[in-house]
Amino acid sequence: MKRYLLIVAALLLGTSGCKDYLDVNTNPSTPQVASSPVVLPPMFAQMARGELFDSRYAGSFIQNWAFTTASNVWDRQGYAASSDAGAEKWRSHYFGNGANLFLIMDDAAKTNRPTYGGIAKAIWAWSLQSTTDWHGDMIVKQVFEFGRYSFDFDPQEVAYAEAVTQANAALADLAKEDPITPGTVTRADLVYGGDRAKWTKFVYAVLARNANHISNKASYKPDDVIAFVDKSLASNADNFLVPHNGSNSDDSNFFGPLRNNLGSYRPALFAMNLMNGTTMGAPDPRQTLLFNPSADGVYRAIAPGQGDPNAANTPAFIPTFWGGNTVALSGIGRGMFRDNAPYPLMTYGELQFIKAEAAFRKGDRATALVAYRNGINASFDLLNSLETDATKRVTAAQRATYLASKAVAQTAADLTLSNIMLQKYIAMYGHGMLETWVDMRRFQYSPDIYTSFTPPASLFPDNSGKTVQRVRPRFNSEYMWNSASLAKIGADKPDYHTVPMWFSQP
Amino acid sequence: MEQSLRRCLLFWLCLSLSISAALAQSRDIRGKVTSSEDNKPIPGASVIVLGTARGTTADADGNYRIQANVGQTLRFSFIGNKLRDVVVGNAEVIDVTMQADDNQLNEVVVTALGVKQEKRALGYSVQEVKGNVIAETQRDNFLNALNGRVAGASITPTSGNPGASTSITLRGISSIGGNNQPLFVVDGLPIDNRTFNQGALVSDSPNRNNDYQNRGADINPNDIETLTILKGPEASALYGLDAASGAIVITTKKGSGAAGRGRITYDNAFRFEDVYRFPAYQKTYGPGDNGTFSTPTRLYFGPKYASDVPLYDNLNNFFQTGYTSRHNLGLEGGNDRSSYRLSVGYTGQQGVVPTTDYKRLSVRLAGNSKITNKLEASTTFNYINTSNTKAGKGAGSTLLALLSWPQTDDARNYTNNDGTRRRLNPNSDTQDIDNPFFDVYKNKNKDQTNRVLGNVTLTYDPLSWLKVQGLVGADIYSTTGNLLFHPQSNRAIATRGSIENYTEISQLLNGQLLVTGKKDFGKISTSLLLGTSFDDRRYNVDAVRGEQFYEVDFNGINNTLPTTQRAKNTLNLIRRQAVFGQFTASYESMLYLTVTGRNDWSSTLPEANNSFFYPSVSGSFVLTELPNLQGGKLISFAKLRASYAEVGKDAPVPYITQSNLLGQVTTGGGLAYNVTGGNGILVPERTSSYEIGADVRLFNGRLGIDAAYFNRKAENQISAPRLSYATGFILQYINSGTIESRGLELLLTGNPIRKANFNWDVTVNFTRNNSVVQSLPAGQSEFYLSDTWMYANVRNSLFPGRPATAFGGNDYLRNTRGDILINPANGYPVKNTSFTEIGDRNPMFTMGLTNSFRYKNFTLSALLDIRRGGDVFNANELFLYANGLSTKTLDRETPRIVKGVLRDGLENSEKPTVNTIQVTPSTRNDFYNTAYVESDFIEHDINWLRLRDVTLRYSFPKSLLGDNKILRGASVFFTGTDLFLLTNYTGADPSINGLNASTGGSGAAGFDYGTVAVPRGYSFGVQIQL
Repeated sequence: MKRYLLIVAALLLGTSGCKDYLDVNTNPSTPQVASSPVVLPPMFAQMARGELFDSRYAGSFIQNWAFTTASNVWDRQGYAASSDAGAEKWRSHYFGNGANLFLIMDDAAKTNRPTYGGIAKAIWAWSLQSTTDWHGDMIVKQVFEFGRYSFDFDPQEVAYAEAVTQANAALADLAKEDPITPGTVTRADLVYGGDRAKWTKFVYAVLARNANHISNKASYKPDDVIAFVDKSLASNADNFLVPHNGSNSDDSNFFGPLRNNLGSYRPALFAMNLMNGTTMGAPDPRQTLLFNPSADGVYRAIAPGQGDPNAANTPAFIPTFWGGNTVALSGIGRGMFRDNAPYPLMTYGELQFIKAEAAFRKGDRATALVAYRNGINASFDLLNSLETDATKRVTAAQRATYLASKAVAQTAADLTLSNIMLQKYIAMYGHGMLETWVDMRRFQYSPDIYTSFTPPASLFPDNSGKTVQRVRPRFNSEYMWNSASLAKIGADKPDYHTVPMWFSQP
Repeated sequence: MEQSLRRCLLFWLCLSLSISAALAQSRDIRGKVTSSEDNKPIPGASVIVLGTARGTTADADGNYRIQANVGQTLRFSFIGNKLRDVVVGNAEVIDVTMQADDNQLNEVVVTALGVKQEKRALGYSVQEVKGNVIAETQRDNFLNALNGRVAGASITPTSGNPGASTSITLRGISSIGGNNQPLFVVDGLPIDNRTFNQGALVSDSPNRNNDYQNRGADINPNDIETLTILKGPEASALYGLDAASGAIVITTKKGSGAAGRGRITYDNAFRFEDVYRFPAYQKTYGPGDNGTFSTPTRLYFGPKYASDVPLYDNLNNFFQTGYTSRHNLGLEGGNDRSSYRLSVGYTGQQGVVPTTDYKRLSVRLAGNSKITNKLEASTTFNYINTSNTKAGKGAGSTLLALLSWPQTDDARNYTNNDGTRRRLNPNSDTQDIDNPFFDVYKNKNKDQTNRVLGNVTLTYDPLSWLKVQGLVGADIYSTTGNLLFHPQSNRAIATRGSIENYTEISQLLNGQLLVTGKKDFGKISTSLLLGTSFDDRRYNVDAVRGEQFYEVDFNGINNTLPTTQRAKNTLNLIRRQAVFGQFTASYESMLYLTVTGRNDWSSTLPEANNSFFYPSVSGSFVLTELPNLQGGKLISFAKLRASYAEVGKDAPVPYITQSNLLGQVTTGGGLAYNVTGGNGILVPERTSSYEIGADVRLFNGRLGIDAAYFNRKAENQISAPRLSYATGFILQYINSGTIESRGLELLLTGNPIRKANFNWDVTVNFTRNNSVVQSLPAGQSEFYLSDTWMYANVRNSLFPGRPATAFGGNDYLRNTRGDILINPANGYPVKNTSFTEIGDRNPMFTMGLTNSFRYKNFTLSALLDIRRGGDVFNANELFLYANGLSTKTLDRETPRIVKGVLRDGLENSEKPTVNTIQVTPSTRNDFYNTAYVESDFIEHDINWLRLRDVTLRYSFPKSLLGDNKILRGASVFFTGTDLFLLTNYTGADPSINGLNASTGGSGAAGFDYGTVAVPRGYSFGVQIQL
């Protein structure tokens, strides 16, 4: 009897001797730990993803383009109920980039690779800035707190301050000596190849946006804005261009024909009128780089919310942005709307217009004029570089004619704020939609600045006659799973998207 | 890892051998058990040595053999017969005749760990189904044979196609999003009942467009001797965490240990089946828009067909008569020390959808042998080969494509003269969905499985009161699958042909060591079982996908453009260990008490939390053993029982204590977090339950009532709810959420007529249960299974305080008084776009009614399956409605005013504006295809009465077989399956699954979308015994 009891006891104890038998809970088919050089490459696609998905709707708000069927909710400055549409920025900020950037920051700190840490913080600062400019109030302080299921929204002011904090932290990291990193970062950094000087310029560009967006406030300091611009992108060579392979639908430009996301959009009248001489007084040669004429050779556009009246009319049928009348007839697209075209996420041209605006507000018209003309030239250069067909590029003579025309202010005395903002609008056509929308909200869509701009004839019913000022947070993130916090800031109201932003108010 | 597994195995082996050290002498007793009524042998009669753990059953010829000492008592028992106790004397042969007993009280059932127990001792309900009952239904998937036969079981076949998966849940839902199916145990060890989940494919589809056999169906129904259903954690605390949702314990047929000649059985069956239930659709209005003819289109909003236009019945032209042939051969033999049984089963089925088939070959060898008088070895080995050619389901599948195919066009002409696909509209890619004939003949959808189940048991009885048993088993299978969309298929227009191949390899190794001791203290008998087990589950899937075919008709990955080729690898390894014990005590066959305890260790939990203990206690009280109740005329037997049990549960999948990174396919590649966040502080889930019940036999046992009430609560569930993205993820694994289930099960057995030549047995089982969501993960107000969101805005949604089987969907927007709000612009109702509860799939009750008649040599048995209540989403009807094919659109020319009030700002005032806007849908299709509200397509309180199985059998009498020494028995039979269905459901068949059996939570039963109804089948065949 005793013997058997001993055996049983040994048996029961024996199992605990197999501790390493159970130690098999790390995934053999996919990594659960990763280092900075492998997590950095997809960050760029995620940066572009958030902006490009949502730019379709920004493009409607600012009347870069309009939908071919009538009464599109975005054309009417509304929103799609119970839908994630318009909130891809939210996804990229918190998920696509979000937690991954923190993984890089942690890894960089542990392995003493400040360049990676600086890049991650720079992207995070940019993401905070551009996400709050799109959505307004957002989750800043409680972000990524483990074990938390409901997250409080912070006012935009907090997001603006956090963007500055993160930008400064990025600058500090990027200034550090980093002997280990260069070996890997050249390949991992798809945009700047690990060039710390360029990243530093990118961070200053974020700071310039941050400082310039509060132009309506007493705290606005144009000298600070100019100082930030001067430390930022110094030429088109510094542009932040997110690359696209264009070989399949996963690695192609969101606006290219392979992804087919712009097939139902056509140029809006407001944008076309800026190009064809109607508004500016002289035709813009960039029209041929951005738009495509109908079969009869005429460039046509549509009014927001009205749909395309030419759909059944063969000679007047408006081609897609890719050149052909249908996706199938468009090849790989053209110019900025090519499958393999990079996405210009931050450009030298934009920064020169920021400088022009700040200098103008400060009263330094001479500086403003130089920056203004730099911006226009940078736009021509950028569009020409994106056009793969050399015969279609704008020639130096065409550009000179345009620069000397009445579409462009010739002297400091003639320069107006409207000149600057309209040229900035044109320069950022098709890529800087989110930033252009910030500008238009700062000026309350004023036709004094945006000559001949009118909101759509029939605004979305929930707007109650007000223009759009922000985009609601992501439905399947916040409206479904964090609704109590949303209610606290009034985001459950049907007209939440018309509540003015903190940045645009005095 | 591999090493540590080997070390553990070695450890058990050494231990087992050390126990074998002692030997004591006892005698070999054998004999034959016969019935006093007709002197026929009683196969399956149970023989146990009282006061020991030793027991056996008589073979097919009534022969048994067992070890016993002189002076020990052998107890013989068999259903329907009185107990017989015989004291072992000097005789080696003890033949026993048993007398019929109307009190069927001494039944022995297989319970957890294969322990045979007297039913009267059990503190919980178990239900047993005999193998011959299952085999007699002639169903390929034995789970379908259980439908209607088991109280508390809910069984849903995915479709009526060959090789369709079937899901089973016992006593409702307990896991919010995880697996709710019971554990499958064959001959004492768990086997895998997985249904392939398409998440492992490169295409990562959500299980909507294809089905995969649930692997439990590999078991040949003809090999099953008995099947015991342990319904709750009470019954299965000893099986551990996988049995938290119950267990299905299968005991397979073994060889006879009789001396003399062996036995050969052969039976066959030939079945014809046809699908006869289809959604109804209109044949009055032709294609077009807003009342105007247009073509080609799948919208039927055009003018009426001219009277002379020929219309084709594409639906009936498509489906064919299914045919199945089945052959089973069994060979048994042995001597007084060893025996074996070899069985070979073949099933070949052609489905009602052209090209579909299912083939299964199963070879099973079971042997056992007495190595010494005290050591017995038994082993089973089963090789199974299946192949399955399938048809797609869901969106764009054959059924929906047939329904919307132009009725003026003969779909059978699916190719042009040059062999290319005949397109209805050569100019439009989007409108031209696949011709279903093209789909089944040119697109490929096939898988093949090779499986080996092996199992070795060593039983050692060193002392009369002690038994040691060691079991080691392996369940290994590999499946290769091929899914191809032809370059001309509309589903591959963009990809110019796509192919996906996968190889799935599953390996389940497990072992148990059980030590059982028994001791009597006067009137109190006790036993103690101690055991330990290990479990090692490996699961690998390698999938590869390519696009852009070179040769259009070549089926192979090498025929695709290299830059389109993608691979995905899934490797899972889960390991568990356990120690457990069970103590039982009984007092004079009147009071029984069982206490169990188990500690599990699982690799899927964080190390700090991976060990967890859970207990159970159960008892039974046989009232009729009380002195003043003994021998009652009316009440021949009465028993009360109660049990309480807890079960801990580990994480449902491995590798979630940390977040996983996913290879990125964007420019530059790299790794980034996957959508679901990990959690390093997970703790085990806990399910606690209690059950009370009674078992009463009246009128000398001619009427029996068994009732059970249960309550089960699953708390702290590990699930991955969607949360705010501010977590850094889209979903996250957390411990949270509670579901409580309760229910009532009744089992009535009656024997109204019992005469020599005529016998009538009735069995009724009744189930009513419901599962209620007490709280949702993270305190959310909705949790939904995204895979179930397959058509329009209806999905499987859980809401706090509401049933775990609810439909979430879009309803009408109403004012505070409940009036439907109407859009003033067009007179259409306004939809509430948030998801609210719009139905509950849980039936009010289900019932199974089995009648068995025996008249002379004829037997007839029939099972009626009855369901009352429960809602079904008729998504087929919504599809037809939106496309102008529903018969509900026939009144399209009748102007109507939708009843409601205008949403004009006054809707909540004292005097809302009553809608007066007249709509004539025939000129405005959007009335049908955009203004519908999903809640209108939930069909409420669906009842059915189904003739599941009916079998008529004639056994040739001995006189007819003559004095034939070779032929011992022969019979012929006819079996009908699913012969009729009476239901208030307007669709084809309410018993279908919108996804497949791999879906967790409460699944997609009750989602009727694009699935072929279960066909009716007619089988006949012969059975011969040599």
